[in-house]
Amino acid sequence: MMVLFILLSLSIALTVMVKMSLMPIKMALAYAAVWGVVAFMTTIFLAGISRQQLFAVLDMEGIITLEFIELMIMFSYVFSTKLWKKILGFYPGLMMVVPVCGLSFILLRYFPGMNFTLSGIITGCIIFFSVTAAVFLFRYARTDKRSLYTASLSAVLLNIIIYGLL
Amino acid sequence: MTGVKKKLFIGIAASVVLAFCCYAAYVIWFRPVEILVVNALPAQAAEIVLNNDCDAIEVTCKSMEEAGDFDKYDAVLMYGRGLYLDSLQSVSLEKASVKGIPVFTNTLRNFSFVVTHNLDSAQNAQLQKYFSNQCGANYRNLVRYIGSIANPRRIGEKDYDAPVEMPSNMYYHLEPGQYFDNAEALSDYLKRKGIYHREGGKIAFVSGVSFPVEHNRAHIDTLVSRLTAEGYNVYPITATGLERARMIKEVGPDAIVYLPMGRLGNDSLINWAYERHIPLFMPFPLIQPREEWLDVNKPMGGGTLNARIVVPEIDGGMTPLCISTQNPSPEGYLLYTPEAERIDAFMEQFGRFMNLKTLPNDKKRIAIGYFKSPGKDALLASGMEVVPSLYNFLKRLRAEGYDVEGLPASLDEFKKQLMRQGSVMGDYAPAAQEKFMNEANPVWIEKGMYEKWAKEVLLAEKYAEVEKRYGKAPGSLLARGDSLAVAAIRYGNILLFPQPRPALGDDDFKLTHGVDVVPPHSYLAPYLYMQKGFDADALIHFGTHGNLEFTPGKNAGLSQADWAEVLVGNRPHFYFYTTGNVGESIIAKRRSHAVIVTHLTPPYVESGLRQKYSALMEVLHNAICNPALNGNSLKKEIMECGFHRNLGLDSLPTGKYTVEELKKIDSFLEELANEKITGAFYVMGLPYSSSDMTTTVLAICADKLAYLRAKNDFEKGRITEECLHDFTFISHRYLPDAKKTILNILNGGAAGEGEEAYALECRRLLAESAGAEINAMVNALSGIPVFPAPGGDPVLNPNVLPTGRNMYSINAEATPSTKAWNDGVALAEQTLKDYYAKHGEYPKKVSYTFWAGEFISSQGATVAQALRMLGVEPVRDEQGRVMDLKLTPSKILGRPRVNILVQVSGQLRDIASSRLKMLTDAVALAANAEDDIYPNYVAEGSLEQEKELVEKGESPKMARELSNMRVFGPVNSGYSTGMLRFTESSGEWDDREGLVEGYLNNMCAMYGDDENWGSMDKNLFRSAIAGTDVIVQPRQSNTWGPISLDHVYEFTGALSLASTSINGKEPEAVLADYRNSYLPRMQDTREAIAVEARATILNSEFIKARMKGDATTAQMFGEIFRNIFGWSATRSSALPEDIYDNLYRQYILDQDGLGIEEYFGNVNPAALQEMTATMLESARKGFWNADKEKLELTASLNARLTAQHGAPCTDFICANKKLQDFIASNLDKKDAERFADDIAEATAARSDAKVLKEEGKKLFPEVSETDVSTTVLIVLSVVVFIVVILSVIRKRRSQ
Repeated sequence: MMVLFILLSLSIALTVMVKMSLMPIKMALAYAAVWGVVAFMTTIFLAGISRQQLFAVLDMEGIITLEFIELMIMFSYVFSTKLWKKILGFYPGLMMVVPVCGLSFILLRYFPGMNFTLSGIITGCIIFFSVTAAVFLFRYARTDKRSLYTASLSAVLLNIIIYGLL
Repeated sequence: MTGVKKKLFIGIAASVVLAFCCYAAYVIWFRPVEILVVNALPAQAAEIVLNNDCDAIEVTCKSMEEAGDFDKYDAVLMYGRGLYLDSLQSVSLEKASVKGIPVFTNTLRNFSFVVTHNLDSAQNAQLQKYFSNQCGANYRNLVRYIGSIANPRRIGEKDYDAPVEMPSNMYYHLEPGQYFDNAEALSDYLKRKGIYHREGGKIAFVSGVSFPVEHNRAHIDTLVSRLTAEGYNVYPITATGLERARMIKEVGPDAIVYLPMGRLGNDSLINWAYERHIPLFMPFPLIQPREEWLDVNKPMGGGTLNARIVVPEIDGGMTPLCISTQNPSPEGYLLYTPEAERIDAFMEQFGRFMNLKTLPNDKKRIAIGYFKSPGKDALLASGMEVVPSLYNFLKRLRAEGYDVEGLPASLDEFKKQLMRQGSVMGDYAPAAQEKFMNEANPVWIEKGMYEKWAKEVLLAEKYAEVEKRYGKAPGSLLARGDSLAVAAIRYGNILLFPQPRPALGDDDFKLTHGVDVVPPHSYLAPYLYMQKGFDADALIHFGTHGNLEFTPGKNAGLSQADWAEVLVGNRPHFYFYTTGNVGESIIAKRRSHAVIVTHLTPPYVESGLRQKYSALMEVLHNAICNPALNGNSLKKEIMECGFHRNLGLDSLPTGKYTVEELKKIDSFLEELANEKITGAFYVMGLPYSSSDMTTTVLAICADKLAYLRAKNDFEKGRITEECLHDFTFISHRYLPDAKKTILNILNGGAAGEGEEAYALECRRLLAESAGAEINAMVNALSGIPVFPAPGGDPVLNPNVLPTGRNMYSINAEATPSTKAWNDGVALAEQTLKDYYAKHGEYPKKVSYTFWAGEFISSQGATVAQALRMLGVEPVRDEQGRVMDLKLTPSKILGRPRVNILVQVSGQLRDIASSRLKMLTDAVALAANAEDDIYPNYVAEGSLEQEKELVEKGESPKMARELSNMRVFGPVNSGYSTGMLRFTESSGEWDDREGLVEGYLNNMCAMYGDDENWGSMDKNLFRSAIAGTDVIVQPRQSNTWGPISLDHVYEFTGALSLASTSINGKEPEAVLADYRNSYLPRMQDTREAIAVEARATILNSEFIKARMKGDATTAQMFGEIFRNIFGWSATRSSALPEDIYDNLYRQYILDQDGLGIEEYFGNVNPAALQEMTATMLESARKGFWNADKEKLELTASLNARLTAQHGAPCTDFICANKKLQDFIASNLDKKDAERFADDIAEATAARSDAKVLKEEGKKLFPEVSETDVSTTVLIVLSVVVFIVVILSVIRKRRSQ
């Protein structure tokens, strides 16, 4: 289950990063900062819940369903033009919260004894810098709508496989 | 600006100015005055607020912690008692004073914190008067007065009256404002009011010091009214100290009712009361709300327990019932609320006790309960031979005029009747049940009658719990048709009944010491019959100890929802208890409102081992002094005796032992020679024999005299400090002379002063005790109170003599006492030193067992040990109470902070909950220590515990909260590890992992803080056990040892087993031995067991001494055998390898020709059946590597006894089919068939194997999902990430 969750998180992160790399750099950085803050808050929230409760919140079937919806948005963006393209261009991919939660969860487990606020700050920083780095990396690699299409398609495939395994 | 605009501007400006002026006028003349009251008791706060009738004054009450923003109020009134303001609060207060706000601190009792501001001396004095003279008028005028000071310009009500001078010591009554200087004046008042009863008894009613004199005293008024209505003349008194004593004496009461807040008075007052046979009743009000009182998970503890129960016990107070709670009024202030049902209970108990004074003896109906395990086992009581003691007591009752018609003329016949009619049945023996119901003439209770009684006595929801668990009445045990059989014997107005098993079926494992399981119908029936059918005037429990007080419920201040309370049923309850077991007696006092009547322990007898080994000891001494005499022959001699095995020395036939090793053997031999062993169980009413008296006096006095003489020599510089602390040196040099001196004195020689003279006094007290015990009980049955006394082993604390008194406990808040701290520090350091010497490093974790008896006797020395391990020390107040903790600096400690785990008995949890919380605080303090220059194993342990909990699925926050939990025990309101029954039900477990799981399930309730008190978490307990290097078990009494007391293997053995299972290595196990108060020391468990086994169970002198006893004494042999079996199951390395072979030689072969089979055949064949069965079960389990011949001989003895006396019907044999088969397999065919038939006569097919169930609430469920290594996942993620990056770069390049 944990392996599937991590694979799913990676595929979500990949799609979102590619999508963000297509945004103007300032906007992408702003979103990276937002994800950093989300990571901080998520860490504080996750500190108070047990693994079982987390699994109840992040149930795989629910995540896959939402991810499908998000991938549809990504496809819409790839194939849209004009206004829709502009509107959807602002959408960063909200499912990024899943890998953020996953990372917070892992870091909380890996640093027992650490102050939760500090742990949240560290997680937030990691997320901010990782997202920024990924955005720069993808921009450096000159990703385009086709890359997003490929990433989304791969994600759909992975989602279907995971759903089948469940 | 135009004219209009100008007018408009002027108009607005004028309006603003007017509004401002109005507001200013309001603030100056009309605004209500806001007064802040800080740190008032809830009752005081309520009094102040409720008496404030001025609309212009608003009173706000806040606790010390809540208080702040003082400058926002017009005046501040503070109660100085225990007041502490932090720096922020102090700054705020300072700010208020700068603003001119009057601040007053009530320093009624000269407390250290005094802050007053902006008040002159006259104002101070007047405010102090209002506070000091507590009454409604003064509270009313207090707020008006401070209001007038705070805002003198205010218009409206600001009149106040001068303080009313209240007499500080006075009589009062129901009517507010009626106070009297003397008892006669109150009598006159009662006469005027028409409520004086000319024939009525007088009651001195003493209320606590801080109670409200008027208004908020509904509980007091209710009690006074009820007592008056019952025909008594009640003299309510509020006074302290000597004046209180004078006023009580002036009343000359027939009884004293005291709502306790500490002691009633000094010893002189208490002695005065007891000399006049004035009983002391001490029901108490609680300041907790009702819900909290009723909540089992919120035990009474700390100061409340101390002031309301512990200290009153020192005065011998009875009826510790909670008569009121404090609950919020509609306005939100806490008011005393009488608990109507508890007041009814108190009134009934009070009335029944007072009734004993007047009821003729021949009319009194007395119910006597005794403890017996199922089957043909003897009646059991610790250290007491029950049947002859009971017989003596009944004869005495007859002599006192009680109706004891039908009491057999001979002890033998009485014993037969008890065994026949007063038996206890196990549900595994239906045939025996059937026989009992047909032949034993039980009391039959019809279902309808039983249910009627149950509904009258029990709360409906509690009876519903019984039905839910066991089905409708009459249940399955001792039931036929629609009726229930109760084992009981009736002699005139005396009812004897055995305590049945308090749980059945799957709950079998958890019987005697209680678990959170409702008792079955068969348990309720005799108690309901005692109350409703027999209508007893008083209830006695005969011997240490029964199981009623261990049924589920609160630790103290019980309610109708607690089984123990409701089954005693408001009868005066008396309990014969061995003085040696103070810890558990306290549970009986508090949980079944028992009045304890102590009895002597068995006499101490000579082990005879000094004579046995005298030649060897002499050779050994010579060899130590002159190494030339140390040769191989000495080594061979030592090895022949097997000492090398006990001490872990080499067993090579060549060479010699070193001088150090010889010293070790010498010390071991000295301990053997001096071991204090007890003889045949004590028969109440019979003084010790002359020789027993002498050996007991020697046991009590000789050590003391020897150490005093050694101390004298040390002070004179004749011996070194090292010698003074050397047990062997003292034993060699001083003990023989001390014994000679005492023997000489006892034989009529001249006695010196002090300890020498005390030997004679000691003999007198021991002789006096034999009569005093039954006298005290007979007196108690006539309404004469039992005098209070401390408890414990007489050797350690001779003040327990004479017996026949009511035991009390100690003030847990003052523990560890200074001596206990010193002892604890010494023992902790010795533990570390020994471990370091052996392993070259410090242990990382030391686990402790805390018991109530040890805690009381040693005054918290084991708590001190645990604190010292952590590197934390107590901070005391002027009265010596431990108020706080502080870190011992790492540099001073000079070693790592060592992690701890504490497993507690339920008894300790109940009497010292505050100490357990304190320990948890100490762990947190140590874990967060930042000055460490050595490793901090506590911090590491907490981190590890947190990590493990998170890994098990707990939330990180909760894991952190629980990471400092180190104190665990049985389920809240339970008392047992459950391991006794589980271990002994050996037919139902095949490997030790089952035992480990059982132990973890039963002992995983945490007792560290209020939030999680009693919550069960197996994962947490498992991680707390992990890494245990040493297990420490306290030992504070000479009346038991590791193999004679089952609880030792139950706790230490089981923890060792669990630790071995979790860590993969067996921890060391040592005993913290407090038996020598001059020289407490640590001893390896293996060594201690070797000493005890050699001195007792394998010592023919001991066996001969015990064979003078009757059935209960004989039963003890069986118990020791079972305990050895328990050690084998839990920690076999603690036992000498040859113990079973030695037992075989001693008891099966009877190598010393003691007449073992004959003795047991005469007094208690079931005991020998159990002993042989235990040996065979040990062989079956692989604990005893016995050859065929040994097995056949043991099995044939068992079968022969079964053929002669029938199946014993005990759990151990009759509930273990595998054992029965094993026995049969070691018999020839004919005997095997006969044996099977004999067993079948009592048993039927057993139900399926039992599995220990988890009881109680769990914090969170276990996560069953398989956890994949996170490391693998991270590696996987990184690989995927790298693949992505590579593909991106590749794409980039391709572009």
